[in-house]
Amino acid sequence: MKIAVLVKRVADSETRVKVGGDGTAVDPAGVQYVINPYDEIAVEQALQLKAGASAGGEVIIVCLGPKDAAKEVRKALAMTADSAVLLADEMPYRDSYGTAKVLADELKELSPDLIISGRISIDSQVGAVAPMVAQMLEMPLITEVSSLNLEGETLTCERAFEGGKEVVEAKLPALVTVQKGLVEPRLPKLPDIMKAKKKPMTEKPAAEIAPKIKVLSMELPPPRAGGEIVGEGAEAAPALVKKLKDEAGVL
Amino acid sequence: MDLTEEQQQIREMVREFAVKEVEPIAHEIDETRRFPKETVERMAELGLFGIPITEEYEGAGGDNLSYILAVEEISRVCGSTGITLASNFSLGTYPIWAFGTEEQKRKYIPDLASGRRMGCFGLTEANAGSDAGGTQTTAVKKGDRWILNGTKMFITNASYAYTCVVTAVTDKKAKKKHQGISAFIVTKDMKGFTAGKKLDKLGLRGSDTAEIILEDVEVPEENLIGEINGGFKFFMQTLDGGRISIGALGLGLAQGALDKATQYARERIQFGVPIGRHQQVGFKLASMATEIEAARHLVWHAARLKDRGLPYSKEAAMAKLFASEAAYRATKDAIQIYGGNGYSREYPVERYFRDAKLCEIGEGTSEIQRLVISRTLLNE
Repeated sequence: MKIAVLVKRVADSETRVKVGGDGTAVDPAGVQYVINPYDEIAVEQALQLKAGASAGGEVIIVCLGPKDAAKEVRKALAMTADSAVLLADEMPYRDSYGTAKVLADELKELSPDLIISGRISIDSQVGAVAPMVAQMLEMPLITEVSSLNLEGETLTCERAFEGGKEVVEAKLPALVTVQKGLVEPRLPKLPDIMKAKKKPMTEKPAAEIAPKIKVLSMELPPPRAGGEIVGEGAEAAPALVKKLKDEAGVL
Repeated sequence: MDLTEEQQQIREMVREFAVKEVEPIAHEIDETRRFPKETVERMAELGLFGIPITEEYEGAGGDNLSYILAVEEISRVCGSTGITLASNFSLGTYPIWAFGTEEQKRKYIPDLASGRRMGCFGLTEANAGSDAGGTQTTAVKKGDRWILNGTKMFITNASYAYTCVVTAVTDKKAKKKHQGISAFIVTKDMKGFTAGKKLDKLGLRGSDTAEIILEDVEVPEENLIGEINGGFKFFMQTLDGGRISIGALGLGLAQGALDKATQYARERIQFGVPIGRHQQVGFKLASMATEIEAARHLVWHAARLKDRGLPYSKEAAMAKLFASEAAYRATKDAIQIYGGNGYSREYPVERYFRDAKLCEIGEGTSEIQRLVISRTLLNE
């Protein structure tokens, strides 16, 4: 069984990001990059499926990003994925359509049985690429998967969401997007980090596709205002209620 | 400071491990003086104990700098776990790896590199601290065995180690005392070998430090490391490498204290602004960061010299000396920035301060480092 995992390089959530000079993108200075945490869950799920498959299998990492994303791709290889394709992107901005198109074209060639991706990337948070890829490849799509079972060609997934859950079935080939709690991504072991450099990683230029949308501006949320101590003990309660009602408007 | 992609990967993996699995219990193991066996098992699983050992001997086949990065990153969140790792490799494993016979390596290294078993190093005694020539443990040849008697103290990982490399006097009549010392591999299952009382320490309380008592321990001839009476040179070389790792311990602790103090200086408001905006605090942070950067250059430089097979004895001593003293100052200033909270055990910086003090003492005091450096300068 061939499993492809879509991996994106994103700014670490610990990084204190700033908006760059032109006001439409994040300033790359001093930013630490990581594998999108949801994609890391996808990698782990793929590896576990491979380990559980009696016929064995192959896990291929597919990443569209700058050349420097090779580091994140190598990490996925160190987690013990088998090979990788890095679609080196030189466009300053690429929208979801352009991303999906390049990935779908590559995946067509690879023709995997299953494609797994994170539910969303934590940087741009659009969540459109995986559904678009499924559409372009005319594959069944199951999003927000919280539990996954594969028997032969039949994929059964649980989709937990606020207020309930749904059990969905599809035939391979299919594309699933995964959410937190599905599996816990492993830390790469040191000998595997050393071996990762010898694993096949194909780097090729990503086709330029004119974006269909344009970012006009980007801004950080306003800094949080300081708190206020209304008073102490029970006697402060009425004043607190009044403030919550009149000023905060939450009551 | 340019790291190879592999070194970066290793550093990031260890950092993630440290934050997720080591930091959450750092306070508890310090408070209760508990040796975290579960962390040791995880470090073994991740391959941290045999970083610079080749794959043939179940190591990762990495370089020495990668190992130093691992010690630094772990120490950044927990000094106790940092020294457990540093000591297990630099003192417990390295001497057998670097100076052992092929047979000794085959027999002991795979267990140590994979972390299945731990190792320690027995040099210090009641009367042999900075002056290792004062060693009183004896080894007397009897047939094809050596009979060892003596007591070693302050031995890191002694209670959990299977192998212990010990030094003993093999020639009492040697002209210079240090010319009559040899080194042997002793194992826990040998009759007469006991790991004794555990030391109650100021810091690094989640690490194990104990005595080793040798009572008529019969050690097979083939467990002698290197040449007979050649022990002094051997342990001086072992300590050269160990010093880089203690430098990394200090560096990690200093960086950890700076991380915490910076965060606190951003959040704590006094006189209407975050305290970091007050010059007295901001400048402290600036000095800490500058010293840490300098320490990192020295520590990494020494590690790289070792990787290249160049002499590094002086540089290792300099790295350890500077990083240890920088760690002492940085952890002390972190407490000052935290104010009353820094003095409280509810906040982590007092632990960093207590842990950092060891760096100026273990594997050669700062005074001994200055001695080593000055002797190289004067070409003695």
